[in-house]
Amino acid sequence: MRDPPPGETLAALLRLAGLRDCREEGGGVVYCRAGAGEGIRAAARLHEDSGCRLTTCLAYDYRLVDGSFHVVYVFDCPRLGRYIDIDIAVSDSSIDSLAAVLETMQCKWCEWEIRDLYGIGFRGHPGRGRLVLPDSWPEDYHPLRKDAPSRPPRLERPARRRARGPGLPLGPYHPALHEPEYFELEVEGERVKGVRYRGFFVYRGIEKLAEDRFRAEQVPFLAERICGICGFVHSTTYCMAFERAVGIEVPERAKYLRSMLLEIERIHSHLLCTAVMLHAAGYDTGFMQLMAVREEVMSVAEELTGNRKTYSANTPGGVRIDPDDSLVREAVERVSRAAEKAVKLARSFLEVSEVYTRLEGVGVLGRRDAWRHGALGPVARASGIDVDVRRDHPYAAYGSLEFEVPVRDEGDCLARYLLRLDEVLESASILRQIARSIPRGPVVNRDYDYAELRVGQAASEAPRGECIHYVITGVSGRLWRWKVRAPSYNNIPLLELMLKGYLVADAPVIISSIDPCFSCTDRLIRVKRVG
Amino acid sequence: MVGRLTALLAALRTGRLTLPYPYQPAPAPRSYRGPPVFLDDCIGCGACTYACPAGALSLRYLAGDDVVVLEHSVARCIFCMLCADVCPMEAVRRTSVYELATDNPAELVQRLEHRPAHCADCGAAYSTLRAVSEAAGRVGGIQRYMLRCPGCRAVEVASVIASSRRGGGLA
Repeated sequence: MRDPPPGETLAALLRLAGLRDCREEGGGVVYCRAGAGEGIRAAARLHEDSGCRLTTCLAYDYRLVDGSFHVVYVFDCPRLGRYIDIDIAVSDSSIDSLAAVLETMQCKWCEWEIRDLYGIGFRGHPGRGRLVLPDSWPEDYHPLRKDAPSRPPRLERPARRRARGPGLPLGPYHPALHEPEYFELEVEGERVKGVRYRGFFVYRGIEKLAEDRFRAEQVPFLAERICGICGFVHSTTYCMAFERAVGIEVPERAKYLRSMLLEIERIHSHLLCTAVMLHAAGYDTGFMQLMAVREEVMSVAEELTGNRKTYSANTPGGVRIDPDDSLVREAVERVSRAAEKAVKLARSFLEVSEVYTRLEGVGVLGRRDAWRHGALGPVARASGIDVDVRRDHPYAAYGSLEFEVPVRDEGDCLARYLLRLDEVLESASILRQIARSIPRGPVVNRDYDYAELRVGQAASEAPRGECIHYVITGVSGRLWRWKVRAPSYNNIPLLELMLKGYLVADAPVIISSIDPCFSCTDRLIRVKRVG
Repeated sequence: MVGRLTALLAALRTGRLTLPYPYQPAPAPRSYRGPPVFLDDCIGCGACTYACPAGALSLRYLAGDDVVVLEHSVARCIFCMLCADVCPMEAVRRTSVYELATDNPAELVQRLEHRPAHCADCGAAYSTLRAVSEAAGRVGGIQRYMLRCPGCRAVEVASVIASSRRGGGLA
């Protein structure tokens, strides 16, 4: 990560990239329109020279409105506190691939997904075959197009493929991984030499479901079910995106309550991840003890919202719960105490030398790779990348709360483990501030009018990193487009870099150290409750 | 060695956490969101069926339009309580039940029967008698439009407009 030249401003940056048609909207998102060639050139320049980096790309079908598909490249500029969206209208169903220029993982994946789901060709794109859809899916059926047939096609049984070379399968069902994903490890003796990943086994088109069947104010309940652990992040981010699109002011108290639940969720998610890392390293005593402490956090969530995990607490315009002050204080106190106890325990487990040596120096992700390929959240911060959406692009109540963003430089599993523990303590301190300073007042603002064909984008810091929702409102209260980019979507492809050169036996530890959420990445509707 | 001792001490201090459930009941906290129960105050207006994100609620006209049934399926319910939020009669009560497993699927469905209101013009069932009388009570008396189905209302409005037009370009 290079430091931007001093005194750099947004205007200078846009000039440097050659972007002319830009407007800034609420939430610090700068929407720029560009032609195909000019847009890709601007994107390449932004990613390489400016302190910004590509975080994801997405597409939407606007043929009924202006006759073309659109591809949007989303850039995160943490120092400027802005997101820059480069919106390219695709008239002839193919454009030059940005992934071919940047050669980065996040770009490769998001363009690949667009090719599968929208049938937009990316000239020079490195991916062969399918990313999201099954291999035997028909070539001319692109499910997210607005004119896609309503019924899925009959699929042929996929041909049996023989692994190329001495591939060692890990998954799709594996005792150490818990979710369906498939890694094919090329090994030389005990060393991993290469990795091929196949995921999206549980892609079920949740975005299409929302566009077709749900009204905008019902979508939070669907969004919440994207993830079995950090569901509240998704419903909050969706609500913020929708609120920005339509222009809804959220009451201050609702913002604080959102932050409170988000931090409670971060604590229980981080404790789960550390516990699972210990489990993958073969130390089940640690797993059990941490999960026992985590249980306290889950029951506090249940008492606050009526459920351990699926809070159903969000609605466009605010929240649906209004706990009184004594309940908030008691809940925060219980969660903070549990968090401190868990962190003490988790640190003490590192004194067991077998655990320590399984984590230390394993699965190193370098700082430059982490920045270029779009690593997010604890994975990025453990590799020395100082990003955190809560601080860089404040949302909910984070603008008025004080907290540190822990960063470590080692980039190994141990760093990711310790970093999460530091973050749990920060979350506990944030919760205490919220209990002290939460304002009184209404918790929801329902005084708004639906607006058609408006764009809203929101980002939040999920426990696993930056989570992005992109909303275009449609007609009659429905959504035209809803795009969800969960943090694991950027982190999972980086496993290829992290696994290379380490032992096969380290693979489950390394995989669990990025806290992958395959259901978020695949965007399934997960009905199983966690815990 | 020290680490192992710490873990051992922690385990001893924590003790046994497993409850002897189901031999001993383990009630959910009072705030727990279990399945909703629909009370007799229901007027069958259908607001909850429109709000429900999961499609767990339906209002159906059965037996040749002689009965209107509000049906709630626990199997589809996501316990979000939006139905309670929108109910004009406060006829939806939250419960804290969570032991819902059953070998009889009929137990997962709650049905409330209503008498339908028939359109004064075309005779089709379009609402329930209780919903119409509740609406009349709220606006202070029966209005002419309340007794007609939405289709006939639209026709009547259109014909009133058409009959009041004088001249103009279109016949």
